[in-house]
Amino acid sequence: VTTTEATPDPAATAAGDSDADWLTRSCSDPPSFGVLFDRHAADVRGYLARRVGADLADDLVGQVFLVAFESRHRYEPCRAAVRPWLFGIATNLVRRHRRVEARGLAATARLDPRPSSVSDPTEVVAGQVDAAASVQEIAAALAGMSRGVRDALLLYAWADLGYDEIAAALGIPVGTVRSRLHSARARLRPLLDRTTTQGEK
Amino acid sequence: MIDDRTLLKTLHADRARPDDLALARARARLMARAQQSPGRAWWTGGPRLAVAAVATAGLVGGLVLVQTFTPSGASASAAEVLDRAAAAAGRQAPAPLPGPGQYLYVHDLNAQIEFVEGEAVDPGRLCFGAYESWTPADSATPARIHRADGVTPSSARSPGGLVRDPECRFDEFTVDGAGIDDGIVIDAGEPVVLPGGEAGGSWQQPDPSFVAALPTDPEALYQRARADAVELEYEQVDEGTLTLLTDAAISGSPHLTPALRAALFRAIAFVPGVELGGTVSTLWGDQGQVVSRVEPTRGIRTEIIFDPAGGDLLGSRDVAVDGGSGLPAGVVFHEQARRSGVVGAVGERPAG
Repeated sequence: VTTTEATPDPAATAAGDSDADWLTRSCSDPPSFGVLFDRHAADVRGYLARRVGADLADDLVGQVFLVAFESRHRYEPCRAAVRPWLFGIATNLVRRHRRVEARGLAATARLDPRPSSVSDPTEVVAGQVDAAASVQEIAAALAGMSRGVRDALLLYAWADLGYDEIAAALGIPVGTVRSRLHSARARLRPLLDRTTTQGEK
Repeated sequence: MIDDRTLLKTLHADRARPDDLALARARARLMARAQQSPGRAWWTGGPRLAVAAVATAGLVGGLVLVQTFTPSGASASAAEVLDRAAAAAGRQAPAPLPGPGQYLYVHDLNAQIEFVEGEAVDPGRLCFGAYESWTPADSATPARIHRADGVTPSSARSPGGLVRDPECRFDEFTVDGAGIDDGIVIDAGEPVVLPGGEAGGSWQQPDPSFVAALPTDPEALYQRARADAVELEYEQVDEGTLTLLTDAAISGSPHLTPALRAALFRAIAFVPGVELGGTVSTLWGDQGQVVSRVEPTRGIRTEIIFDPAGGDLLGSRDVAVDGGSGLPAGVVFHEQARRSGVVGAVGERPAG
């Protein structure tokens, strides 16, 4: 992560020092927590921005790390790695703004159907996706999911967390993660099937 | 063929691009806090970070200053009704708190138009949802929620009997695998969160510590709600302030004292744009006096239904006004009413 205002101590990002090491160190040396920000803030902000929009994400990413900093003494490395812990905090904050998220999904779902100009043009499969599943349809599918299912799915898809990490982030059994993702995939299946069909033509 | 992860990554990909300036500001806030935290001396990057922290503090301070009180408030007639309701609320006996072996019972009835992909399926059809929760007095006993979605009153405005409505196609509701109409057991000590609510310690579900921190002076309470609406990033602060005050007043929390309920009603009179409406019937069939506010940016009129003589907030509803909402003007697209009480067992309901 490159910031315009601060450059972390190069020693602070030395390879071999785990997130948990830096978190422990920050208990006696609070500014050490900045290393965790440098390692994860961009990803956390990206996840938040997709969920609630860039403007709100800019504020929430700061809150995520302030909450994490204030609760670092209670962090239990045996229960979760630092990354899913941070995404769990981020997801909790999103819940306080779920009306913003719901309105955003509804607004996207109402967009006039068109080639997905809002998708990343560098995404190699974008054209394939555009051909079958529009962003409107994806947003509508997400809007129709329960909060718990959507949280699990978006931690999987947008935060790139594994099942165990999602379970740790949400504080739920991994079996529940599986059932929630199963439910989410059932909702997405028609979109994926159409994409497959289009791609095979 | 693509997988689900790839499919989803096409949505809002443009938002996820890094914003170095935003991250720098967030980092400066964090480092400013870390600097104040007990520990050894500031690290070597300190001076540059400190400059950023000062700049950010100034920016935040400027934003806060913009959110100052606007003393326009409610119309005189609306303020009079709110004051009358507040006076009656202040005379009420304190709500009973569940004792050992008892439960706080909350029955939430709501109705809304079904939307599919952002379009109203039938603006003339309200689909109902009913939620009942039993929260024990002690944290060692599990709580329970019952919910029914996609239902309709068996007779108009009579929620005593709800029947499945095939035209209401809400998604099946589940919590961790428990499905529609199933009793959902909440683990002992876990909060019971009804739809639209937050866990304890919020305007939606005020617990003792949250209530203790609320001022009972109406204007101070209004300012507190307004500050929270800003912090919670409501797009329209006046609308958000009204929402938070209403959420608390309708929460059914037994921890709200008569004085605080009265203050909540009077605090609503400080929200700009609040006006007096007509008389309507709630989902429970109770007649009430409407106090309303139009949010012009969204084309929505929020109506709060009071019993001024009894000092009760009976319910609320959202009505489309011209433009903005995409619905015909006058369409009621969301209603809510809630009742609560103390009962002796799960499944038991208060008399009456």
